[in-house]
Amino acid sequence: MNFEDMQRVWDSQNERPIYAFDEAGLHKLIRRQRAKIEQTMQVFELAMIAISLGMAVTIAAEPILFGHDFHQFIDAVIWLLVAGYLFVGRRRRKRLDGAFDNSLVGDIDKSIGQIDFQIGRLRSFVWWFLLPMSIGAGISFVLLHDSKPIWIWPGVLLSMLIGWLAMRHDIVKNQLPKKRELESLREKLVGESHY
Amino acid sequence: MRQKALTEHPFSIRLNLNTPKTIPGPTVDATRQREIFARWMQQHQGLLYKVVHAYADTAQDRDDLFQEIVLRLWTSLPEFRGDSAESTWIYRVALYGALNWLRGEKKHRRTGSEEVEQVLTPINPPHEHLEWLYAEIRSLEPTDRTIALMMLDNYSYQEIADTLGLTENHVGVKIHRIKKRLKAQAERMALHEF
Repeated sequence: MNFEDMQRVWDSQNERPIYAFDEAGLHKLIRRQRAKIEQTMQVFELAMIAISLGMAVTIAAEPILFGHDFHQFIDAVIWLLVAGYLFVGRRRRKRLDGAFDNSLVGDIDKSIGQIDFQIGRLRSFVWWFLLPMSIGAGISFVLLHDSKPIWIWPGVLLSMLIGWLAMRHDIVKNQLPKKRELESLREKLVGESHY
Repeated sequence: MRQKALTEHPFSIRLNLNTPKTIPGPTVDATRQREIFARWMQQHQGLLYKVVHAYADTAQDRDDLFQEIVLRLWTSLPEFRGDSAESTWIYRVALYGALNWLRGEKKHRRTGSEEVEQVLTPINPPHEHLEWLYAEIRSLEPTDRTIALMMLDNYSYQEIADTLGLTENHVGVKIHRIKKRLKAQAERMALHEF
């Protein structure tokens, strides 16, 4: 048998495939994979909510138990609002997930929707996390520790700026390129469906 | 010539890279969308079977590898930009998946009580000569298996070199050796013409 014969042997399987695959089983497999990603997002959201609630309880404990430093209630309320914001955001994301149908294009749309949601959350990170944290710290410094050195304020501002730059870096370097790739893929897929 | 039967598949499609800028929203007909997914798998399933059969020995390993490759294809879908032919890209993902799988990932799977469904069903056992050819390919070094598969599927030296990150000359030398080895083995086994 020479190489040309081997090539013919090899090509024969194109007309007579060795295997068949279970399409429903594959869909299930992919859904399972997506569920893992969903689980990771859930853990992040629930952890952030738990941290915010934990902060609120810890900060409010002192005035409640010992009857002093009542200004800390303001901090506690701010952290409760952060937890509420995250909870509402989580529900909105879940509603958004349910809006896409079970198909390849539907999955891509869902991924794009998730990235949009993540970008929105990152863009507003300064407002829903850094700002409340800084307000809380500011109130404590002014009311309780007014003897704190002046450089503490630029320090707080600098921390906020670094936090904002880190978020922006994630959006520009990770989220937006991922979104553009998904949009390009979707365009190709939908283009194909017109054939 | 390459992927002859696959490109002649009744569901065969050409990838349109010049699609209009208007993109329909998520309300595109769901049945149609499912058809697109099915067509992708239909069009390239032969390629995946070849990789699976060339890299895994047992039925369970083949199913395991097939699932691994399909998941890799799924997760790498957004990275496909249409720079290369669709089949080349799928080949690349499948082969890297197979190479990683060989490196020991399989040791970590299907352990414990995890229930994993079979998705791959053998329907036409390969005839004697084809099975011999696969056995010979499986006896090669993992990278050489990749070269043998792509060579038999009529990919150019350039495409094989690009896929593996080798030079064309290097690929040429390897292909020469693989052909020589296959021929010698066929003579040794006294295999007659197909």
